[in-house]
Formats: sequence, C-alpha cells, structure tokens
Amino acid sequence: MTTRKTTKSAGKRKTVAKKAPRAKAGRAEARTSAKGLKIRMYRVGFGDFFLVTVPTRSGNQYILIDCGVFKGTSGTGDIGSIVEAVEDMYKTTKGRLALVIMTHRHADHIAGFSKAERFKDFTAGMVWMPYWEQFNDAKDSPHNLQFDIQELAHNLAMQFGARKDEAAKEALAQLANATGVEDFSAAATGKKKGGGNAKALDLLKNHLGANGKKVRYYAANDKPELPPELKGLSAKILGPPPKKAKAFMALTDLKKGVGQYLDSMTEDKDGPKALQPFPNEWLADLESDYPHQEVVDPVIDYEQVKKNVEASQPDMLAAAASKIETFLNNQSLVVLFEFGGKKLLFAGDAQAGNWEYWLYKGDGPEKDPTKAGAMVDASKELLQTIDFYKVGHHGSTNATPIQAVEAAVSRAKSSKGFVSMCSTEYGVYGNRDKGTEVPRDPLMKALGDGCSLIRSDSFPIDITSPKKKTIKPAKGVNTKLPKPKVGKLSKAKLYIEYSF
Amino acid sequence: MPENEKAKVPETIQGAKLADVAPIPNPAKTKTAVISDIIEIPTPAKRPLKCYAFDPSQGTYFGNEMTLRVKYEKLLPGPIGERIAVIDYDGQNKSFYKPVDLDDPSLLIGCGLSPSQSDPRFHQQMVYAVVSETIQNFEAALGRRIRWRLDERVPDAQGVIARGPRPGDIKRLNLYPHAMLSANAAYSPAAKGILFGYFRASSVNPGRNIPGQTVFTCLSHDIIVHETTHAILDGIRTYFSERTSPDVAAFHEAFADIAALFRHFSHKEALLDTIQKTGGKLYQYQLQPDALVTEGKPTIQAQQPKDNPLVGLAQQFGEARGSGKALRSALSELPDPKKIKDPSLEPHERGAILVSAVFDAYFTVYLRQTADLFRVFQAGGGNTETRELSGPMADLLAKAASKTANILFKICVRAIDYCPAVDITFGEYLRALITSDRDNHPSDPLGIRDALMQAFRLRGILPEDAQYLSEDSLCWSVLPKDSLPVFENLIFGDPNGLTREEKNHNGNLLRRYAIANASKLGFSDGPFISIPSFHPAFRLAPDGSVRIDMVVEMAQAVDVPYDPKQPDLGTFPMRSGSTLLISKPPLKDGNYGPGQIRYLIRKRLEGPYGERRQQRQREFNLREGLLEGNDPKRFELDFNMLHSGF
Repeated sequence: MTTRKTTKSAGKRKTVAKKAPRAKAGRAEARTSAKGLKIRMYRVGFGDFFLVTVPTRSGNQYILIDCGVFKGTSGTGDIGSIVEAVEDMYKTTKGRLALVIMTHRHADHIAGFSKAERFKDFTAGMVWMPYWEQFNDAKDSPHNLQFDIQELAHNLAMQFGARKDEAAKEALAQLANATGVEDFSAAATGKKKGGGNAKALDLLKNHLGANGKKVRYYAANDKPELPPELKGLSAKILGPPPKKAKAFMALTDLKKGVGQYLDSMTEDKDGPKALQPFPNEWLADLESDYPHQEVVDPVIDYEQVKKNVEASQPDMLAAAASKIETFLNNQSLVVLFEFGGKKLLFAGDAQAGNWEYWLYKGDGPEKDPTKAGAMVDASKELLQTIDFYKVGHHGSTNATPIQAVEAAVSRAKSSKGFVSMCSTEYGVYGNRDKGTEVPRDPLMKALGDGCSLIRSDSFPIDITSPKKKTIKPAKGVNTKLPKPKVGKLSKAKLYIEYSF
Repeated sequence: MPENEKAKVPETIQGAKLADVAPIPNPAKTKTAVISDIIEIPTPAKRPLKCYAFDPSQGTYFGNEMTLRVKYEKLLPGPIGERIAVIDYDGQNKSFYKPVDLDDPSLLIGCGLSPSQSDPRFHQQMVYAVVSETIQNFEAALGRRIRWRLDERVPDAQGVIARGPRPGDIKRLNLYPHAMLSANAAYSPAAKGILFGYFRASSVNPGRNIPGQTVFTCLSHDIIVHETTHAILDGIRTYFSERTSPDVAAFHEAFADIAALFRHFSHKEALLDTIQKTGGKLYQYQLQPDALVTEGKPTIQAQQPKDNPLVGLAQQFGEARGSGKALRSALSELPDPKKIKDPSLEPHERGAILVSAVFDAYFTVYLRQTADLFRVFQAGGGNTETRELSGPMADLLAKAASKTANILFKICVRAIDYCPAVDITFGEYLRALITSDRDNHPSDPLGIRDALMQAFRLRGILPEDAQYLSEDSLCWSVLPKDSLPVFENLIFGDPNGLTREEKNHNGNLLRRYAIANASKLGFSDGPFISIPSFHPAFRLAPDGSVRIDMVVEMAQAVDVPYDPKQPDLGTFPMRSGSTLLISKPPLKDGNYGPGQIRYLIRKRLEGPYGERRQQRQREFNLREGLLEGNDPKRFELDFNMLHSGF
C-alpha cells in the first residue's frame, strides 16, 4: 500500500461530505474521523443480517456480515422479510460488496444467500470465512470436517423420527439450523440432501468468492487481507481459536459416540429399531419370575424401577445435536474493525470456548492462582474502548460472557459509551421459567443499562410475502430508539441504522 | 407361602408337646432333632461365584475365569440381597430378563453359572459378585460399613428437619446389567443404581471382537468396579458430585479408575504371567510375546506382542469402540507439569494425570521393595533381562506386588476421610494422602509418602497453599487442643454401624455443635449448616490397638451472584465445607474421655482464599456453560453424560 502524499482531496470525498468538508484528514490508512461510517441491522427475524457502510476516499464501500434467518424451536423465527431486505441492500449497494463475512455456517447466518435469488447479481471483493470452513473439501478427503458435521446432523435428524418431546424438538431445530434443512422428513424422501446451507455456501464460495479465488479463511491472530477498496479500514481477527488437535479430537469422539448409537439401530419396516441383546426366550414374566415385592425388604417397586431406568436413558441424540450446535457456534469468525478511530466488534455467535481464547488467553490458566479467572488486560482494554458491539448469539447468556459485559460497560464517566445491536426475535428459543429464554432478559437489561442497546425486534415491520401482515415488536421492549452519546440511530422500513 | 406355614405350625406344636408331656423321649425318635439343635450348621461366611477376571475378550488366557468369594447372604432371584439388588430391566427394549436364583442348590454347588456371554443370568451373577467384592474391599480399607447416597437433610419451611427416609435415599443399590443401548455404563443417583449399557462393536476395527458383535459393559470386571466406586464415593462424600471446578469430576473418575486398576494386582495368575513376561518389570506397557519372532513379522499368535493387562483398563470396551487398545491406562501420561494447568481438559483426561501419579508411586515402591530380591537373584547368576525368571522368584515378586498394591489402595481409600467436604482438588487429595498415611503409619519404611509426593510433583499437582513439598508442610495441621470444645456425649458405637437412635443422638449433637461454633468451623453465622454424613471408623493401628475416629462432614450453602455488580444475572450455589476428624481417646482410669477434634479441614468462602475460590468457580461455570438457565440440577455431575466413556 502506498501512502498518499496529499492530505486533501475533496473530489474523493464527495460521497461522504454532505456538510462542511473536514478540516483535516489523516493519512490514507488511518482516518481520524469516522463520519459516514454506518452499521445497519435488518430485521429479518431470528438471524443476523448486518451491512456496514465504510466511507472511504473512493466513496462508500460496503461490508456484509452474515445474511441468515431461521425458524427456531417455535417455528416463528423466520418472519419472512429477508428477501425484501436483500432487495433493499441491492438498492443501497448497487450489488457491489467490498467484503462479505460469513461468521459461521448456521442457517440463521447464511440462509439469506440461498433464499434471495438477487444474490446472483451481487459481486464481492473478498469473502471471509472462519478457519474451519476450509476443511470441507470433498466427501472422501481427510479434510472433510464440515461435511462430516453435515452428514452427522442428517443421520441424527433421521433418528429423531417420531419423537415429539421438547428435547427432540430443540435438538431437531439445532440440526436444521446446522444443515439448513427445514423439514427433515421431506428431505428424506426427496433426492436432495444438501439443505439450504449447502446452496448458500455454494453461492458464497463459488459465486461471490469466485470459485474460492476470493475466499480467505481466518482464525485468531491471523493478519487478514482486506480488499483494496476498503483502504482506511483496519481489521483484526479475534476468533475462532486457531486449529488445535483437540478440537478435531472432540469431533472424532462425537462421531464415535453417535456412530455407536447409530450402529446399534437396525432398520425395521416401522422405522429404526434397537438392537435386542437376547432372544425372546430370555424375557421374563415379572409376576412369576421375579420375587414379589412384598417378600423383599425393603420392598422393590418394580414400576418405579422401570420409570427410573427409562428416564435415565442417555439422550445421545439430543446431546449430540447440542454438541454440534456449540461446535459450529464456536467456529464463529470474530472481527474487530477500526475506522476513523472507531472500533466495531462483530462476535458472530461465539460461545464460551471461543471467547475464552482471546478474553483469557485461554490456552492455560494464569501461573499466579490469584489471577485465575481474571481477564487479560489487553482484552479488558479492548472491550472498554469499543464503539459498537454486535451482541453474540442473538442475546443468549452463553454467548456474551458476563465478565465481558461487565468490562465493556464499566467505563470511565467521561466515556462516550457505545452502541450494541442485538439481532433477535422474541419467543423463538428457550423458556423464561427455566432462565433459558433468548434473548436473555437480565443480559439485555445489563447491557441496556451500560450502553445504548437496540434489538432488531423492537420495531414493527410490514411483510408482504407470503401474505401481508405486520410483525409486532417484542413485548416490553423499549420501542423508542435510544440516543447514543456519539452519532445517531435511525429507523427505516426494514432496518435500524447507526451512523457516526 | 401359606402351604409351608401350615406345614411348619403343627411341627412346632408337636415339638412343644413332646417336651412337656414326655420328659424321657424315645431316643430313636428324637436323635436327629437333638443333634441339629445342638450342632447347628454354621452359616457360611463366603459364597463362591464364578466370573471373568477381566472381560470376555481375554478368552481363557491366564485364568480369565476366576472364582470370587463374596460375603454370604441369603439371596432372592435377581440376585436381590440386603444392600444390592440386580434387577435386569432393559430400558431400551422395555422388558425384564429372567433373573438368576443363586440360592438354587445346583448353582450353590457349582459356584454359580459358568462364564457365558449369551446367558443374561451369568451377567447378573457377575455384576452381583463383583459389586459385592468391591464393597468388601472398600469396607476393609475404610474400617467401617459403607452406605449409599442419602438425600441431604435440610430443614423445611418451619425450620424442622423431618425424620425418616427421603425420596432420594438409596437404601439398596440397584444394578441394571442391561439398562440401555449405549457404549457406556453409569452410576445414576436418580435411578438409584448403576446402569450398564450394551452396544455393537465397531464394524471397522473391533479388536478381538467380531465386527458388530454385542458388547456388554456388565461383563467387564473393570467397568463394574469403576461404577461401584462412583457409587461408594458418592455415599461417603456428598458434594464430590457437585461440579465446582475441573478437578471435581476428574477426581471422581480418577478415583474410580484407581480402584479398578489396583484390583488387577490382587489377581495372582495374571500377576505371575505378567511378571514372567516382563522380567519383573510390571510397569511395561507391552508384554513380550510367548514365542520369539525369528525373522520378519510374527506368523503365529504366540508371536504377537500383547498389551500388559495389568495397566490397561477395560480392554474389550476400548477395542470394541475401534481404538485398538484398552480404554485407559494406568501410565498413559508422560509426566508433564504443564498439562494439569490446562483448564479445558476433559475430566477423564484430567483424571488420568492423577491416576498416573498414583501408579508412578506404586511402581516406585514396588521396585524399591524388590530391589534386594533382584540383587540376590542376579548375584546367584539370574538374568533379569530375559523373561526366564525362576518360579520362586516370580512368586516372591508377585507377593510383593500384590502386597504393595493392597497398601497403596488402602492409603488411597482412607485418604477420602481426610479430604475437604466440598470442592476437592488434586492438591488437596495429595495432602489428604500424606496426612492419612502418616496418621495411620507414622513410620514409613517403604518410603511410600515420598514416592507419592515426588510422583505428584512431577505432574504439577501441588497444593495451593502448602509452603514446601515436605511431609510436614503437606500434612493438614493437627488442631491444637482447646481451640474448639470437646464432644462430651458423642457415641462412637460399634464397627458394624450405629443404631438409629445413636444416629439421631449424634446428628442432633453435631448440628448443635456446628451452630455454636460456626465461625471457628469455617462457616458464617446464620445459614443452615448441614451434616451430610458422620461415620465412625475403626482402624487397626500398627501397634495392634484399635483406633476409633468419627469422620464428620459439614457444609453450608450460600448463593453467590455471577456478577456481584449485576445480581440480576443470576446466582450459583457455593459451599463452604469442613471435615472433622474426632477421635475417641483411649481408656483412662476406667473411663473414656470426651471426643476431641484432631483434624479440622476447612474450605471457606471468606478471606482471600475464599475470594479466589469464588472467582475460580465463576470462570468454571462460564467455561462449562452453566450460566444458562436456573435449574439447580445443572451443577450435579451426570455420570451418564460425562463423556461417552464410562
């Protein structure tokens, strides 16, 4: 990169400078003003769709961070606005995206790429994906990590078949999110197995990423390559944790555990059937073969025994589904952008294992036991100086560690504060009575108290397809836009935008 | 039963009549009755039962079939005994399997059924036998009868602690040999017992199994001992199954593995065979093949090297899962002081560090103890480099190995009584090991304590607050006299246990004591202090006298916010806990003095140490995803979900 000699170049700034031209501008790489920098959060339901406008010297450039939506456990997560939202983005960007970031391959982050046909008309300067995404080469390659997950998720989902319980519902939702298959029973009879995610990934890698030529895979500490049109912007990769053999091992274990379970099922005309260890002759008649419960002291309540044993059956399927969920979330690419002195943190859906890596330098605990659990100073400082935070995992507790919130909101009184955006949809996941609702109320409150927090489900939105209706804002949510100390928030039909 | 009763009644009446009416009975008629009255047939002490020494995959190799002699008790079909009951209910197929009646004369005479993979009744017999054996071993080491987990006795809304059984009490441990379709076995307090799974062996790399054959975890001696140990430990230490740090789950696992591995060394045939094949170097991972490979690769099975069965755990299980080797090993870990610092280790991995430390100490002591034997053997022209150890030499080595294993096992088990009541860490276990051994065997001629300290040090397991790595520094300090009041009326009872009345008496006494001395005992005033357990222990001192102690657990729970500045975000329970060792003083002037606290092992919530604990636990909760939800059950260790292993 060459450093510009001229400090003033009015002509290059025409798109940004609406009012008085800035008195001074920094060097080309490090801008001193972030004026014109915008972050737009589309309301699409339960999913992430963020568009960042970067006012470079050559005009506005755009960064798209995720474009997805998912119906969730309740089935109401997809409110039906994503196609229209993509159209809107097309109008804003004229179909040219300088950078596209896919934080991880969950439907609620990528479904839009397959749902909106308009993406065929988009071009991208570069596509960033998490490090793990490159292990997705081909079926039989040793690097087929993502393919394995896909396959595993599919096999698991098939086994759930007739189950109607809560745990199964939740697990199925997790698997559907991982594969993009919305209806597994239909997928089973159809020929196509890939699911919506496969289509979205194809578009990302092959269309936008020019058959991989423009795709870059990153993990923490990598120096990312920015497309030339984003001159002035700098980026740092904080997550996912770099490749460690352990993570692979964990997946191998998972595959083995689940595989064992799947191996032990046999296909029957009525669906999957469990292995029966002994022939029927060994089956006992409880009445005649077992001692009557009155004879035994203390008595044995056989009915209770049955209940206890049945309730203790390990829910391998649910456990595996939730492991896959966490595994994918933790692949999330965590990016810190800096432009004109403003810092924007996009955390994807990173959960504890991912955060831990950069928050605590998680490879090992502190040598000094008194500092166990303390945050690394650099991370603390970082959190206290961010100007924008994309709330992780739609506001669930496991995605924004309390220490991080605590660090971020505990700023000097003179601080200008920061803005947080949480793309979420109420009532899609979790249960308030169990303290698992998403977004989690106390977390929203803590964040809301410490910064200007905006939720994507805090404003009504009119939907035209599949039929006309208005989606209401979440109950009890402040529908008025907060007034941040720096910049301003504005509302449009499909989105909320924060402009510096 | 009415038929039998009818038959019985007239007989007794007749007998009574005879005695009353005819003082000089007809000798021919009364002869048998008199003899059986005078010389009663003694109740047998032991019941011999056949089982696998390892698991079916070992075939009949060096006496893989063994006969266990377990404590005799009358059994109902199941077998159902007093403290354990085998109930063969399959939760996957929702059916019961036919139970074995071990009191059937033909089984009594033949030491039970012969080992068989296809007969579920043998499975029931084996589970019963091995669990009984394990209980016996633990009781011998602890010097008392063990009991299973009981629900915590907490006061109700009126502040009254209700008497009588609670729903979660485990009076009798149920054993379910075919509970689930899963490559897993688990102790489950909710199911009040141990669930053993069965599964299909890997179709790709099943080791010595047939691809796809059904593998039963209930036929693995190791797995049964491992799970029983979980249940026993849970009965002794209520809060060791509460997830408070990475060490807790790892400790449960490691302790269960240690118990299972030490048992191997009591198996004489296996021990002799291994000694022969390793030239006495028991710690070698592989055995030399029976036949030497003359050229190229092995051509017959006798030339294949075999893994040392003594140091490997659950061979068949590991192989059936496609790993090609035992599930875990006593010495899988190279000593690396850094590894223990990794908080993300999975509990079994972390536990393996503790297991290898204990076995490092064991083999060190074994070598020390047999060094002279080797010297004499070599001086006499013996060569230890070849496998050709003479029979008597091998015999002596086997005796030493088995004796040392027995000693180490006892030390490991007794140390539990010297552990803190809550939030156990590996470093504290080391302190408990050293203290308990010094307490019971002040002189240490074999250098066991040194071997333990060095082995732990090599693996970076160090107590947080000890100054030096020396016996003095590692031992919990003896409580100075008069720092806490004595126990005037504490009943130490009888080695066979306390009566219900005695228990009630002691319970009340201890609770009152705890309230009166809360802060000195390490608690804060106010919140309820529970006494989850108190056990009298009777141990033989080296001088032959019996030493009587009462081991008491006390705990207090406080809700701690995840974030002190954001209490709304939720809380988690944290406990302070104390272990008291109260000893019964010896008889003096015809009287026993009052009980005196010898050791007070505290784990506080206050002070700088308490703060550190809180911080650590917060971090642990975050890492384990325990922030989600408000279900208190999430802090309990779920042995079934703890990894897919057992």
